Amino acid sequence: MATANIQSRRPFKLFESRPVTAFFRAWWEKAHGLTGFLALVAIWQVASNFGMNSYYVSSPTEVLLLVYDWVATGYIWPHLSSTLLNTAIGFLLAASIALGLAIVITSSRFWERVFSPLLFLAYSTPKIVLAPVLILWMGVGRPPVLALSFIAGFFVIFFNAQSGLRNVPRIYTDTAAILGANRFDTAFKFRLPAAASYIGAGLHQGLIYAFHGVILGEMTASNTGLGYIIIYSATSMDSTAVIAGLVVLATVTFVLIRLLRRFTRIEIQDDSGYVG
Amino acid sequence: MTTIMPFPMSPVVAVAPSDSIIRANGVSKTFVGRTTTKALNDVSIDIRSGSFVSLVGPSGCGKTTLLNMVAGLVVPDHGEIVYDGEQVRGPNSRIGYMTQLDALLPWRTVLANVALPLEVKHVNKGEREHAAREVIRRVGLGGFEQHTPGQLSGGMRKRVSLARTLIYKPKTLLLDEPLSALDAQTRALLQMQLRQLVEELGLTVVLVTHDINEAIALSDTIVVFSRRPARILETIDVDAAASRNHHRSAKGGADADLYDRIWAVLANEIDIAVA
Repeated sequence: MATANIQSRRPFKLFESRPVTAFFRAWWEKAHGLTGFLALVAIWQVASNFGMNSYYVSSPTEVLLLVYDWVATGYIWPHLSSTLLNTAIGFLLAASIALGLAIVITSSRFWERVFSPLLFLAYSTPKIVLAPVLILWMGVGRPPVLALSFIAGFFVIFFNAQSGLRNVPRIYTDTAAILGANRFDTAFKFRLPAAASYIGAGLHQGLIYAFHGVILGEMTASNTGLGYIIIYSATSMDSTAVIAGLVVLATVTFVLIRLLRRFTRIEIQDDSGYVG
Repeated sequence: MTTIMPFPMSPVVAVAPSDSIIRANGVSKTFVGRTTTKALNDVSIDIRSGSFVSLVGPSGCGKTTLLNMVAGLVVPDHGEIVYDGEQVRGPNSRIGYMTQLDALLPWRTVLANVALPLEVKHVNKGEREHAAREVIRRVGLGGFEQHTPGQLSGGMRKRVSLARTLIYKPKTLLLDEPLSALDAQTRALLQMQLRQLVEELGLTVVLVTHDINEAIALSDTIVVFSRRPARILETIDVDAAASRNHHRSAKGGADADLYDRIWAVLANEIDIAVA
């Protein structure tokens, strides 16, 4: 539906309609978001110099220097790339199996009855308790990390896709039926696109969860990766390295979310007049 | 001339089998949910190939249920629907069905929407797009192939919907208030074009409508339904009942006597329903 964009007289603003100043204004507005963060870092720095035991809290300068050192010596790259690769594999596994299962379950009552209790049982189990079991089965290394990543990413993708597919307006599936579409076409040409916004939301969260699953796995069952750096530093009482690990982790998460926002903007134009 | 008759009153052989394209034999349907709703009760109807039949009746009286049965989306509890000599048991892909909600896929362009019926029949891309362009031009939407439904007006969406229905050349159109959401001018225009297309292509049409004028302007036969559970109250042969060439005047003015006659039957039903 078209929305009328009525231009009204705008209140006077200092920066308006000049390209150069608009550019600076954008940065100025972004700087607002930074101030809180910078204030926190400043307080931390001051506190670590005066009073707080820097053995436990380290200090921003030390952390930054260590991160720089990691990057400069190349120490961080194998760990970072291992974490990212595991995340990608874990996520792709989770996404393909979760979406496939969601389609099967939402198009057949029989398979829904078979799988639902299992899925719910698995969903309600805290994932962290699986770590020892996975180590028992798979040893230490990539397999248990991927397994945890898969498990962490799977459910959020599956449940989002399931509710999306369940809420596909009846009129689309009826249309598919009358046009004589087979199961495959009904799933891929009608139901999946109709559920795209739910599925997109699920994938979005699923990627972050898969990443967290990798970190969790690396902390418990691996000797590479960001998670491993953090847990190793913690067990050797190196607070600077723990926090530096967290900084890298936070940066990766931040970049991932940003990229996702950019690439998963699935927008379906409102089907005008259709309510249901 | 079309004949539709309630079954109990007429022998089964009233219409030669070759002429009859849709036949309902004593169909009933009760919807069981939080409340139990009896939508249809022992309805029999016989629709001849090539006729234009309108179903009018009070809101929610079960007309849509009858169309859904012919489309194979609803299975009758009792009785059977026979389409073109075969009992309807599942979704009936030999008919075209246009509903009030146009069911266009908002993520596809006009061209891809219209080509969809051929796409799911696995016609190759070049062939189906060629056919789609032709039928899009036919409904007067040439130049809008690459638009998405969200960019079109209500009337244009109906045309796309019609194009998508016509592309696979069904012999029968089921129309469930397809024009009710449009403004009066657009509706009148589309009614005329619809009638013209239907005559050109020799289609059988079953139209559910609330608009008595629309029913008179378009149909050969009007079937008046009672309130729920639907029974057939009256079957009117429009050509015989209205002064000829008057009921389909360009001004859209329906034959007043015929209008009054249908309204009298309907008003009675609505009164009872309210009381």
